[in-house]
Amino acid sequence: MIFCSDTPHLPEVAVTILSTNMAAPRVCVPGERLFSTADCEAGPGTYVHHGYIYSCLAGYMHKRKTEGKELSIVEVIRQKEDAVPRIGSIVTAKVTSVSGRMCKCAITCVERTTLREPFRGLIRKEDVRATEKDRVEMYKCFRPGDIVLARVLSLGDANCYLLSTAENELGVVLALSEAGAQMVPVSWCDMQCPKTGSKEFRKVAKVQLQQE
Amino acid sequence: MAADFKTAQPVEYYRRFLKEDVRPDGRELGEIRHTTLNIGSITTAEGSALVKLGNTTVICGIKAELCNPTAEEPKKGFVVPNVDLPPLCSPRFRPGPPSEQAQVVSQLMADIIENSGVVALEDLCIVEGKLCWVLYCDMMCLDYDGNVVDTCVISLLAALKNVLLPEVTVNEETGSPVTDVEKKLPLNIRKCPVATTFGVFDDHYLFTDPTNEEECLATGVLTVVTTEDNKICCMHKPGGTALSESRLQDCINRALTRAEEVRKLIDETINSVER
Amino acid sequence: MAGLEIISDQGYRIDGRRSSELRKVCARMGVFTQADGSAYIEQGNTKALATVYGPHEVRKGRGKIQHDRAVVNCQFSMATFSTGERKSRPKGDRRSQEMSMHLRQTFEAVIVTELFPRSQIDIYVQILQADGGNYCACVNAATLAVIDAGIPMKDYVCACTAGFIQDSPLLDISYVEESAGAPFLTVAMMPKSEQIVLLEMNSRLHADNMEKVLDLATQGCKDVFAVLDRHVRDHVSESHALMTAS
Repeated sequence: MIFCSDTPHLPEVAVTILSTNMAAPRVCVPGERLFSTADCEAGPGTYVHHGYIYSCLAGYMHKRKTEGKELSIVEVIRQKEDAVPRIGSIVTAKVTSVSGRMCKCAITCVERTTLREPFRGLIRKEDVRATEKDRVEMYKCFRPGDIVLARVLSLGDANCYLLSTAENELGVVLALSEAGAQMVPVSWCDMQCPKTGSKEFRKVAKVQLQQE
Repeated sequence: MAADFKTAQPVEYYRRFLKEDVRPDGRELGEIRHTTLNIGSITTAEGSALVKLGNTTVICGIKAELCNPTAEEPKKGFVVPNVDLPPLCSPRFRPGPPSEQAQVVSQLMADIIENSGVVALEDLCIVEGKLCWVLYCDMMCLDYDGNVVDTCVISLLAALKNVLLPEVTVNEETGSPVTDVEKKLPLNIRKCPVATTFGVFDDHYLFTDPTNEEECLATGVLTVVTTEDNKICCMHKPGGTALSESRLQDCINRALTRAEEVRKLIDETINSVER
Repeated sequence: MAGLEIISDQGYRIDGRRSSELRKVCARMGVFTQADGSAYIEQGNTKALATVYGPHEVRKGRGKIQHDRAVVNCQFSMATFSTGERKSRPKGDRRSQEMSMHLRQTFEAVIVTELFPRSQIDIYVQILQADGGNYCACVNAATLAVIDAGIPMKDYVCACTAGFIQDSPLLDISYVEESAGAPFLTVAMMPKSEQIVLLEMNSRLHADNMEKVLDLATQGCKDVFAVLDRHVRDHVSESHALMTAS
């Protein structure tokens, strides 16, 4: 054997579900038949074929009940999660260029997972704010290099995901001033540089204090 | 949240570690990653070696062929190195013709082989002016986590030490070469070059053996190649931040100690392999 | 090599195997850090490794983007030192491109691409040492790498060769047996659903013998599946044990 025995790499995202449901979890592999559609519903990590539910990932099978549904849901969970931006998910993006009508950005994280390779996103002028959509000036909302929180609106047409910051909790979370210092938010539309004291316009996100 | 800070402001994240004289993977500034060596695993090649420097993995395979020497140098054989950085080793390499980086590293390998005199080209000559060996050294990176130059040099040296060439005689009547597969001789390795790469960050911090992330953030790079008689055979500093003479001397001293460790490792591994 | 018996009188082949015996399979998943999924496999002396990147944004060729599914891109390459004679063109020659295309078609049928619209999945396969059954080793390595990357698949894909030499079907042909010139069949199939994904045949084979050889090849695929399955289950349990222990 060429490759010496390395320990498998520890995954980044800890899945808490696995640790709470420790009744001898069942390992399943792609193509393994789990249940028939009469007994359970197919959840993520499974697919349906000819009336039976099969696994499509290599991981642990987990069956859970949800309110309002009589059948429990079968899903297969893996430690490492692949992330692709889906409609409605919150993403973290870095602004790459700003023009009068839109701003282009590179999506670096989807929800809590950091992507290896950034996807491209686009924020149009009318999706920046919820109110006074036509009086938006892009240069007063974003600058290249800002880190923004946005929601995926749709998959877009020209290879970019369409993003929106038209909510209070979305917008710029981290920005560097022209002097190069990290700015402190003052209100929903401007931030202040601690070095020079000057204020710059941004569409600021109202970040809720999170419990770590 | 540390992962978010790292993607949002990688430079700042890295700076905070360096202020404490440590790096994100826990190493000190002068510490080199764990090196493992596996020699002679590819049986179709005349000599082979697989080297892992931390996560960076390079496999070197040497194939020998017979050819005619050039008219200008009738007593010399050839050693042809080639470094391949395929898209499978990292997402930053795309399919297509060899990237600029691969070509630069290949050229650096050729310079190191020539300058250090690791193999005397006269040893590769069988019949003067008529027949000689050409050694194709193909190094392929399988996992790119920074510092591919050091890993390539180690793999090349280990593979060359592993090479067994069959004895070749020329049949007088027909003039064609006769290869005796039963009798195999190792190469005569004259010198053992070992490379050490340093990275410069923020015009201020100097660290050895950069990983992929550190390479992207570094403002300058320096590679020093030394041989066992404390001779420097190659220094490669492609632009980047300027270094003072004293820092350069520190780098050279560090390279000399590192080279000793690597040579010992290679010799130990070769002795432990049953032939 | 004239006069070398592929099968001896006692029924043993050159490497000491019986006619329906597979070569020893060693596999390892998650060998590389940069790739999303990686695997290394040794079938006898054939050594292959596979790395998977994705799903990620489609880069070159905007025309390739599919709005409802992911694009699968495969590249097959043999190292220059993998064969007895040095291979001067590791990729780009017709045989490699044909193998790449076969791999792509195989995996497009198996990966659930509808879950990742407008993205691309890259599968890179590299042969380090070739001793017959190159395509099979690639397919098996790629299956393990895709599972390691966590990309949903409908089933495993296992591949095996079977040949017909000296009037008896042989399983898992090595390079020496391949160069003897006898016909051999390469089969890639999904073992649970017993569906054949790819079938390739060389040389001429009498129609009467076809069924025997095909049966042997499908049996071989199922044997390979048993080995790979055990590796995957061990790997999943190991990584889980590591995670809950920390």
